[in-house]
Amino acid sequence: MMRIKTKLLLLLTACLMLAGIGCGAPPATEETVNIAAALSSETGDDCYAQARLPGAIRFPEDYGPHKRFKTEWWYYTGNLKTREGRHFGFQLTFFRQALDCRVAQGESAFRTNQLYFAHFAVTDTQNKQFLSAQRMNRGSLGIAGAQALPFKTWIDDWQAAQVEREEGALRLTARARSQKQTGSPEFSVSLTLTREKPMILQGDRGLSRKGPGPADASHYYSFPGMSVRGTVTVKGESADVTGHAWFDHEWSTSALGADVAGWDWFALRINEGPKTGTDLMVCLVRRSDGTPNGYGFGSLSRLDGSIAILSESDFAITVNRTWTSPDSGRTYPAGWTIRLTTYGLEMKVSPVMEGQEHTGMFPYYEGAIQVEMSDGRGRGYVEMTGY
Amino acid sequence: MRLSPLIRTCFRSSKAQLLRTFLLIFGIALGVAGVVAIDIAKISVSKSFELSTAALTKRATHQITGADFTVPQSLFVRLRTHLGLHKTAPVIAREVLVPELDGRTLTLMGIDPFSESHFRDIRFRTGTNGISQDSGDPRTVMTRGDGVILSGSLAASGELGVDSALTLTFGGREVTTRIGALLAGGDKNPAFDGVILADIALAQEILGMGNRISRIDLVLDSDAETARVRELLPPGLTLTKTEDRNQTIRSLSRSFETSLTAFSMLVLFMGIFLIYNTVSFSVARRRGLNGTLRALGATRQEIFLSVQAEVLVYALAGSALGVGLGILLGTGAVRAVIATVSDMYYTLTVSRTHITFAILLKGVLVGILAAVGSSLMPAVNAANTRPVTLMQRSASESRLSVYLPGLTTGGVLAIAAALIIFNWPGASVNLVFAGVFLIFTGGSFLTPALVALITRGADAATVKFSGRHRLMPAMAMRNVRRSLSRTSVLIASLMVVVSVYIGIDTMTRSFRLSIVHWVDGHIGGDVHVASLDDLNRSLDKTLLDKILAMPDVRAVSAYNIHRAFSEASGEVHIFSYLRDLSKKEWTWRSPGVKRDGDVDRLLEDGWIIVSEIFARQNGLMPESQDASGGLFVAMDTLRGPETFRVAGIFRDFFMGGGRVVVSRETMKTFWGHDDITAMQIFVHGEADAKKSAVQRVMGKIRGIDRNDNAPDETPGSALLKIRSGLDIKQSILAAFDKTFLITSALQVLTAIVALTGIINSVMALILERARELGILRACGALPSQVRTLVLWECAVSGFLAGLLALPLGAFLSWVLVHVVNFRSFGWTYDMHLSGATMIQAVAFSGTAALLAGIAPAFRAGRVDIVKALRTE
Repeated sequence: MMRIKTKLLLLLTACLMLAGIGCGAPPATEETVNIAAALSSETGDDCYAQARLPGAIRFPEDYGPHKRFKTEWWYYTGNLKTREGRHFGFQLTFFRQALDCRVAQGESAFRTNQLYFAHFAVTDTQNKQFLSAQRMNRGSLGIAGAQALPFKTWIDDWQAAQVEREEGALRLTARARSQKQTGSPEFSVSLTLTREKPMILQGDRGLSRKGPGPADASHYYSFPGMSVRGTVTVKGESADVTGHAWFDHEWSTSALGADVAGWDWFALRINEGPKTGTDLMVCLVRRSDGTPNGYGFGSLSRLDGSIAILSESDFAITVNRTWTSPDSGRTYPAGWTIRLTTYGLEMKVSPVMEGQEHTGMFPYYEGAIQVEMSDGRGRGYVEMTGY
Repeated sequence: MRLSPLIRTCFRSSKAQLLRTFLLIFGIALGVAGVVAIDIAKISVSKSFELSTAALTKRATHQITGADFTVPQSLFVRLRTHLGLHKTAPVIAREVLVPELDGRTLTLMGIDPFSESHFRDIRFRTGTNGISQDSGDPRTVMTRGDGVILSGSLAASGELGVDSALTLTFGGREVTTRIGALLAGGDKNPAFDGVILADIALAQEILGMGNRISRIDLVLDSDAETARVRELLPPGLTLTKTEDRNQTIRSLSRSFETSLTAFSMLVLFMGIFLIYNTVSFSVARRRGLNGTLRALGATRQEIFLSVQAEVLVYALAGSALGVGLGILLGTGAVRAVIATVSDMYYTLTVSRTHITFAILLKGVLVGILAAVGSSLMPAVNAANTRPVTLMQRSASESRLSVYLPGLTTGGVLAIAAALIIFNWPGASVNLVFAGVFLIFTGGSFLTPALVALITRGADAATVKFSGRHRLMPAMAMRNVRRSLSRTSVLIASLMVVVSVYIGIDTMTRSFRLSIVHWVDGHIGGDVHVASLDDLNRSLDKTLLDKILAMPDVRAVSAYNIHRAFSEASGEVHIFSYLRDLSKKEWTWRSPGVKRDGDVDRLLEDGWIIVSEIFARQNGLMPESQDASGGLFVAMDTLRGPETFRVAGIFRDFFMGGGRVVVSRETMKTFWGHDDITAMQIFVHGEADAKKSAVQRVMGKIRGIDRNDNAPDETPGSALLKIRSGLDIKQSILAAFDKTFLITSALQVLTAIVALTGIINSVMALILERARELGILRACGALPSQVRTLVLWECAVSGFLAGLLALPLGAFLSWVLVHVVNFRSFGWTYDMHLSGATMIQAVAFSGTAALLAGIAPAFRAGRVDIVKALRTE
C-alpha cells in the first residue's frame, strides 16, 4: 500500500503541479514521468526520515503530520444512507508532500517545504452521479496544514478535525463549488465520524513492510468501521445520513520498484448476516505484467474488536468483469470474487455504479462497492490505479 | 479591348515624365506611410499593454487592491479558509530595474505556483527530453523559492544563464538574487518577456514587503460570491473587475493615442491634397492628347476610365511603397511612443511592434481611395469637354469662373459647420476631426476667390508705382490670377501644409510655455528633497528644522504625498502640506472662494482641491455643481468610500490620474499618513550667488543624510534624493520634448510634403505653358526675363499660400489647443501665437515655392520658340 500510494502521490503531485504552473498541454508522458522522477529522486533527499522501527507509533503526536517524511496522507472513505435508504459514497483524502527535506530558509510567511492537496468525491447512487473535486495549497500561512493536538488537517475550508475534547470523534467538512466549465454542481459533506472499534496497527506493530529493502516500509495505522452521522448536500439538496467509514493514516519516505504498475485496494464492511460488523481491508500490488508482486497485505477487524493481520497468502482476488472508461479510455475491473479461505469468507464484489473514476491528468478509480455473500451483504470502497 | 491602346498611350506619356510620375507615386506613398506608421504605433501600444498587464491578469475576473497598493496576506488566508474561494491567487508585482539587462524595467512578479492553475499560463521551457540542463528546472526553483525565473531570450540578451547573479533596483534599493531557471519566452510566453518570475515568498523577501502582498486575483463565478467577498473586505481595500481596472489604466494613454490619430489624419489630409494636386496636373497636362483622342473617336467613358486606370496603377504602386515606408517609420515610432507611454502613464515592460494585415490593408485602401477619389474631378473634366475645347486650356478657366461663386459659398458653409462643431461641447473626438477636415476643405474652396481678391487688390494698390521693376511682379500676379484653376490648387495645398505647420508649432510652443510656467509656479523650489525609498517615503521629522536653520534657506515647502488607486482615474497622488508656496491657476473655484487664503481655510474644514485631470476623470465639471455651487466627489479611503466637497479645480500637468490636495488633518484621518515625504527649499540670493547657495544647501543636506545613516545603516531610514530645481525643470522639459518628438517628425513631414507638392505643381504649370512662353520669347522676351517671370510667379504663389495659411494655421492651433487637447487630455493652456512662427511660415512657403521654381524656370528660359508655336 505504502509504495503504491507513494507512486500515486508522486504522480498526482507532478500532474497537479503541472496543472498549477501550467507546463502546457497536452502534457507529454515523458515530462510527467521526469517530474515524478525529479521529485522522488534520491539526490539531495537523503535528509528525509525513514520508516524502520516497528512499534514506534505514539499518540497523540502521531495523529499529526510527520514533516521529516516525504509523503503522508489521511484517507477517509465510507458508505452512507438516508433514512429512506438512499445510498451515498464519499471519499475525502488529505495528502502531504514534502518538497524538500531541508527546512525552508527565509523570513516570508509564505515559505514552506510542505505541499498539501486533497481529493473529495461523492457517489450519488440514486442519480448515478459521481462528483469529484480537488484542492492544492502550500502548507504555509494557514491555508493548509495538519496538527496533532487537537488533531486537524485542512486545505482552505476543507477539513478533518477532532471534535472538541473528544479524541474519538472527528468532523469532516468539505464543499466543492459548482464549476461553470464542467457543469459540475455544488456538493458538500458535513459528517461526524466516531471510533467504534480499536485501532489497527498495520503490518508489524504499525510498520508496514512493502518490499525487500530495509527502508521499504511505512508507518501505517487504521480506524476500521467508524460510525458516521451527518449531512450530504448535492445541488442544494441536503440529506441526513448515517453509515460507516474506514480511515487510514500512513507516512513514509520510500521509493517504488520499477516493475510496479499499480494496485487494487479494498476496504469493506459487512452489515447484514451473521458476520455483521466485520471490517476487511485487502490490497494486491500488480507488476507490469498484471501479476501480484507478493507484497499484498490486509487486515481483518471483527465485531468484537479482535484483529487479524493478513499477508498475500491469506487471500485471493479474481476479476469477473471489466468496465472501460469513456473519459480516459482505460479498462478497469468491475467485478471481483474475494476469498479468505482461512477465515471462511467468500464474497462477490461490484461497484455501486459505473464511472467512479477520478478523471483529470492522472486518472484512477476510487469508488463505492457493494458486497454479496451467501449469508450476508456489505458495502465498501475500492481503489484501482495503473490501468 | 479598345481601352488598352488608350491606357498604353497614357502610360507612355507618364514614362516620358518619369520625375512627375515618381512624385505622384511618392505623394501617395507619403500619405499612406503616415497613416500606416501611426496605426502601427497605436496598435503596438495596445499589444504591449496587453502583454505587460492584461495578459498577466487575463483570467482573473476580479482583483483586490489596496489604497496604498498593498494588501495584507491575511486577507488571502481568510478568502481561502472562511469563504473557501480556492480560485484566488496572491500576487506580488513591482517594477524593478535590472542593470545586467541594460537597465531595463521589468516586473518582478511573485506568484504562488499552487494557486495559479486558474489564472496564468506559464509554459515552462521543455526540451526534447523534458527539462533541458542549461535552463534549470523551473518547477523545483518555484517550489523551493531559491531563485528567480526569467525568459531564456531575456537572459540571453544580457548573456546571463542559470546561477548568474541578478541585481534588482527599485526605490533606491538594490537587491541581488540568483537566476534559478529559464523560461521559454517569445511566442510561447510573450507576456513573460517583461517579467521576472519568482515564488511569492522570495519576491516578498526581495521587496521587503513584510506580511503584505500587491494584490489578490480572483475568479468569481456569481454575484453572490462577489457580494460575500465585498462583505469580508476591510476598509481601504477594493474589489474591482479586472477588465475595468485594466481599462482604467489603459484609458490613461488613450488620449495620447487620440492625439496621434489626429496627427495621422493631418498627414492623410496632406497626402490627399498632394495626390489631388498631382493627378489634376497630370490630367491637365494631357488636355491636348485627350482632345486629340476624343477627336479620333474615343468616348468620354474611355477617356475617364483611361485616366482612372492610370491613377489606379500609380495608386497601387504608391500604396505599396507607402506601406513599406509606413512599416519602417512605424517601427521607429513604436519605440518613441512606448517610451512616452511608459514615462507618462504606465510602465510597459514588454514592447512589441505589432503589425496586422488589417493595418496594411487599410493603408492600401486609403491610398487607392484617396488617389482615385481625388482624380475623380479631373477625370470627369477630361471626359466631359468637347474635343475642340478640350484642346484649349482656357476652357477650364472659363468653367472655374462659373464655379467660383458655388465654391466660395461651399467654403463659407464648410467653415461655418466646423465652427458649430467646435463650439458644441457634446461633439465627439471623431466629430472634431471631421470639423478639422471641414476647415481645410472650406479654406481650400475659398482659396480661388481669396487669391483673385488679393491679387486684384495688390494690383490696384501698386498700379501707381508703374515702372520697369513692377512689370515682372505685376505680370506674375496677373498670371497667377488668370490661371486660377491650377494656381489655386497649388496655393491651396501649400496653404494647408503650411497651416498644419503653424498649427502644430503653435500648439507645441504654447504647451511648452504653459509647462514652463507651471513648473516655475508649482515646483519652483531651488532644491528638492524626497526619499529614495519608495516603500518608506517618510522623511526624518527633524530634517525640516535642520534645513530651516541653514543660513542660505529662505523658505521651505513641505509636502506629504501618497499614491492611491481610484477606480475612476487610476493612480492618484494625494497631497497635503505643512506649508505650500506654489502658485495655482484656477480653472474653477467654488463660489465664495476669492483668494488662495480662503482655499486654505476650506481645506482645514475638510474640503479638497483637485487637478483638472482628476476633475475630468471623475466627471467633475463646473456644470455639475449643485444649486449652492457645491461640487462633490467620492474617493476610496481607509474608512471606505468617502465624499468630499471640492473647493476648486486647478490647472496641472501632473501625469497619471491627477492630483488631489487635502489638509494635513484630512490626510491623517482618511489615509492614515502624517509625515513629510517631500520638500521644496527656496534659497536666498540671485543668479550666481543663488547657484552657490543651492550647492551649499545640497551639500549640507547630503551631510545630514550621511551622518544619520552612516553609523549603523539601519534599514528603513530613508536615504535622500536631493535634486536642484533647475535639474528637475530640465528633466521635465526633456521628457516633454521627447513626447513631442512625434510632432516634430510630423513637422518635417509637412515640409517634405510641401516641397514635393509644389515641385510637382510648378513643373506641370510651366510645361503646360510652353506655348505661351514661346509667344513671349517670340515677342522678344529674353530667356532671363522668362526665367524671372516664372520665378516671380512661384514666389507670388508661395507668398499667397503662406499668407492664407496664417489665419488657417492660427485657427488650427486653436482647435488643437482648445478642442483636441482638452477633449483628449483634459488640460487647458493658453495659446501663444508667435510672430516668429508666422513670419517663418510665410518665408518658408515663399522660399519653398521659389526653390521649386528654379529648375522649371531654367527649362522655361530654354523654350524652343518654333516648337512651342507650331501647335498654333
